[in-house]
Amino acid sequence: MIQFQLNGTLTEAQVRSGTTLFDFLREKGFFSVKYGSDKGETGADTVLVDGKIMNASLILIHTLEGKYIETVESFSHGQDIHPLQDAFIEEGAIQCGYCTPGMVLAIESLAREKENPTESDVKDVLAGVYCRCTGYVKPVIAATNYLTTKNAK
Amino acid sequence: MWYSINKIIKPDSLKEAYSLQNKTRVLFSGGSYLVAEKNPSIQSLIDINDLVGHGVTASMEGIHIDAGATLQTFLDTVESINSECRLLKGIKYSCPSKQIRNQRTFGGEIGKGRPNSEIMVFLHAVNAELTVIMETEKTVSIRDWNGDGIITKISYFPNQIDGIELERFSVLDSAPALVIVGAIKSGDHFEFSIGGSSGTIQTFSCRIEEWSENKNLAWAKEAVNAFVANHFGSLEYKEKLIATALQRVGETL
Amino acid sequence: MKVVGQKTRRVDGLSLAKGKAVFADDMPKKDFLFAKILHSPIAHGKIVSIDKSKALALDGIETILSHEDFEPHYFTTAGQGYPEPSPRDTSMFNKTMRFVGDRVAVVAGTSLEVVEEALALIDVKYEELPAIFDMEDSLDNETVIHPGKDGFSFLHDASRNIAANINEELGDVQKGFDESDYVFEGTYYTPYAQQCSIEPHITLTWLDENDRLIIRTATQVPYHVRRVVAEILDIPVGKIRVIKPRIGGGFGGKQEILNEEVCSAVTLDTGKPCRLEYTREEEFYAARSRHPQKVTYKIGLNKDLMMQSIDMEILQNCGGYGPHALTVMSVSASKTLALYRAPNVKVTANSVYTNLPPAGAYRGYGAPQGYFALESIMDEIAEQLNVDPIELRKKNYFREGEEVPIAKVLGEGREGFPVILQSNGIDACIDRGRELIDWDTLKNEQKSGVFRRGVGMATVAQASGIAGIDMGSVFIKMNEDGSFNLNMGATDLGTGSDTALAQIAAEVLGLPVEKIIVISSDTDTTPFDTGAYASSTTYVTGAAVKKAAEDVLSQILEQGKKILEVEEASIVNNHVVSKDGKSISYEDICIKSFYTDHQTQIQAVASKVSYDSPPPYNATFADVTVDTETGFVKVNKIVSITDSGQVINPQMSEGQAEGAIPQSLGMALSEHMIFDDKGRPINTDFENYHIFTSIDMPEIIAEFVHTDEPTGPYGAKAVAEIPINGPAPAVANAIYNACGVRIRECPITPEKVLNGINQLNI
Repeated sequence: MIQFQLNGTLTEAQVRSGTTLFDFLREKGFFSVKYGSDKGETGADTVLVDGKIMNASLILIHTLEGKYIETVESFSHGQDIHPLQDAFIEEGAIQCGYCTPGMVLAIESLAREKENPTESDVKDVLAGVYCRCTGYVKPVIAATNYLTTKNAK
Repeated sequence: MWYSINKIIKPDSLKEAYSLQNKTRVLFSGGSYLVAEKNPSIQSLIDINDLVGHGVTASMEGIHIDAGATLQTFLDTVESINSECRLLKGIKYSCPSKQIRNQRTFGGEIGKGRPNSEIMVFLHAVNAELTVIMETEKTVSIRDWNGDGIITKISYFPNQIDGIELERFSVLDSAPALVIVGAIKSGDHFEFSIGGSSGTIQTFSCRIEEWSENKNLAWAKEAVNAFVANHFGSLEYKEKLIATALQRVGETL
Repeated sequence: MKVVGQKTRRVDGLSLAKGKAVFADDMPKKDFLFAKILHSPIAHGKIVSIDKSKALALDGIETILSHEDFEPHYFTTAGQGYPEPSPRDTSMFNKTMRFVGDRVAVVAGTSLEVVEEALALIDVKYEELPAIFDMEDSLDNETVIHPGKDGFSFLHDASRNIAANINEELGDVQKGFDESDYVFEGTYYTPYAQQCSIEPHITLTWLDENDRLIIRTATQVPYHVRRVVAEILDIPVGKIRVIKPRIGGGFGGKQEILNEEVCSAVTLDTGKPCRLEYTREEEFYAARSRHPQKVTYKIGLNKDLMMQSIDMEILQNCGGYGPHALTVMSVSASKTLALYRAPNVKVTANSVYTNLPPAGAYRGYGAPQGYFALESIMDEIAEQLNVDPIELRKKNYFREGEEVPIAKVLGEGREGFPVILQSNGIDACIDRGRELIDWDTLKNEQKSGVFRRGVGMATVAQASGIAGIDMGSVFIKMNEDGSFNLNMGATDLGTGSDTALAQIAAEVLGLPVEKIIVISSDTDTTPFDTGAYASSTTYVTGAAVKKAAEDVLSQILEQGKKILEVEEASIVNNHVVSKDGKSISYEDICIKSFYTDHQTQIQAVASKVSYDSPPPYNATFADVTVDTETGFVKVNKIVSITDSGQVINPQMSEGQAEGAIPQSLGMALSEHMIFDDKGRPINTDFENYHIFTSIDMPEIIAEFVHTDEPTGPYGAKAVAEIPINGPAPAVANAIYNACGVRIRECPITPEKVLNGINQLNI
């Protein structure tokens, strides 16, 4: 049995050896983590593991003992949403929205890791989240607005 | 779900891990390659994560990368030393996804040995030294390593290098490169490593004064034999790309 | 206007940002069967036998269905209006396999694991037939891909491998050429490309408590899904409910009945809920794609640069089956020939079968292929006549008030309707783009050195829905808190149409968008809509929304007057106000109408079919740098200026252009599906099929110029497809400007460019 923190809740996973974090999360109803491909390139399956973005479908559960996992479900409580989510809505950075949770997690990880990230840092973290709708124009604007406001505080 | 996996083995030592390997039992560190492929003939994973280090130490005497260090940890270290480093951008393209860079280990990258990995071409250029555990521990140059053993550490020595360059040609920045050329200047020598859509990474070296356009053309002609033609380029074209890349990195150095 | 034309937050923005369970697969799957398709490993051959026994013996396998289990019923997978203009050349399971990836069987079991195990245990024997992989070999080949039997209905001559054909001539093209001072001809190629929506095709089916079949699916065409599944499985339409939740991108790929019928068949066979999701790999070879085309234009002009004759010839590869075979190439012709005026126009087009994957609808729907050719040859003509490419174009545009004759000839598989242009902002698009790209400086600067920079441009048109065919209908009802339900069959595939349509309703009713509650795309609860394709939703369904909202508004006024007991009143700020100062709010009108005064539900339905389809226009400019030692092309900047009439939602409209641009840049430089000599797909993952990611993107500027289209809701025209047409030819033209190399085949790989450079000896 493996124990880890999932969105702040101690979670026990008793699963088969080949189970990925993706399988586990979808089964448990964390639907913000999505299928895009089997090899992680699309990043629709992005989660945070100890604050770092990773592809849930490339992580076997047994490697997660004691880790801290976050999905976008933990970023909002009712109408109370994360300012980055708000920036995405405000800037029109969401079209179909399938990649949005992955983008939000990627940008949030950057915000936590770096004090004054540049636009090229933003594009770098979004390279692992494929989006076929937006051309990344508005997501980059939303991210930049969020990061600038955050740093100004 | 990787259906065929029925056991995760956590050995007590790397030597034990080494001895446990067979066709259905393979070493597991980051897992980004293995889990993506989900090879159905693999039944057990020998998890060595707790047995290898995960850090990178950098000083002028040497850069030492633990086999369990992720690609991102290495990039962050390089960036903290020199954020303007041109190499940084080049080797990032080994894996454009930061998600995967956060997971993929150096040991795994070298074990996989992709010739279209910028990091691999770079490590060949600097002729990194691998510390490898088999029955005993030994060090071996990355260019000579035959794939046997468990890598514990990767080292290279910047004080022996007077300059490093990397050139890559890819259709998109995010796409695997058709041709990657790494080069170092060390004393009176140039050393070049050539990878890309190739079966292997090849290295060439010469004294600086011997280096010439004709030499590049000859090397390109030789190196291209390991390449494969694909929908983005014939061998004839790739030969030209190799020669151009060699010329460019050499001139910059 | 208070809402239309203003920045408005998406009505579904909050749920999407929060990662709520809004997509097809986002629901618990207790007791579901998992289904997978067994795909043909051969490109052409007959199934001799299928031995399912070993697979069926596995614990957990519930059913395996294949051609022996059904009477063949021929249909087209194209999600189009009835009767479909595509050949009915396929059935749920065919006995002949026509491409690698064709459907042999469906396997359903209690876990994906057992299903995958079962797939490997099904023993299929094939009798292989000679295969055709090159579309240029297909016509009159001795191998006939659809020999044709009872039940098939072909549009053209399947015995010659022609799935569809167009032969139209307006005027006398030959006479036009004879009388022209100059005649130019060029042939251009575009390859197979994948829509690459990040969400794959996914369908869930189950029987509800009344044994009705529920289909929850990622589709652009819920009503077509319902009709076609009912037909194939021979059950009444009324027994089926299709629900389209949010979908993770479509781009035409989901304008298809791809797996809905087979997932439904499993549920009907077993009585159990079933889920069928494609993997990324299957998306690449067993879904749909953009039709490869070879397009030849021959254009005759006079000395005054006015076009006299345009002869367009298309050879299109539709793959093993012909979904959209006729209409895609019809659009290649009708959309390109609607831009420039020539008295004599001719179109000859053949869509031929090959043993490669069937192509389908992909954003632009033939126009990207046609415009790559047209806007390339326009630059070639300008170059050879030594005139400014913009001046050449400006001389030849159809202008406001003029009729576009091709529109009447080429409808959706039948005669169309005349288009008389009432809004055309192309000049303004060009002028703005020219300024933003710094055209005059960059185009004329001396090109030298290893890295050479150049600019290119293209102008394009599309349409706003399919005239006389696309129909949208809506239902609006009032609630006692002054909110309104807007139920419509229209399908928001991520474009934001739910929001744009809510804006139109809000504008009419004088309310903020938050007061409009949108429910869309559920065949039980929303009225009919042909679906989301052909850039139709804002223009067609938007007009229905406007009509219904106006009806509701007049009912509110009438009801208000009755309650206030006055003869005359008007609506001011969500109140009905009489001349003598009596006033009643929307809320009070509704609650009184429900319970006390003149009881009634204020509600309206409206349908709209448009016999107009006004073209939106766009000018796209590209700034590129060519590495003349290697042939690599870097796109520095794309400027895309669009005339979509009155833009309903400026931010979302910009988003449409910003997202279309990288798809077209991929077509220009990096995207093509390729196959080996047995027809097997080679690049079925993103490591080998290269789409633009965040780090590949050039600088993008997407703007709109304002025109007022009298036939559109609030002056709106379409927006979704048009911006995909321009970038590819603009890049090709920019490469020419940078280094003098003209590449007539997409993708423009670096090797092609370098070969061109070497031939020039620069």
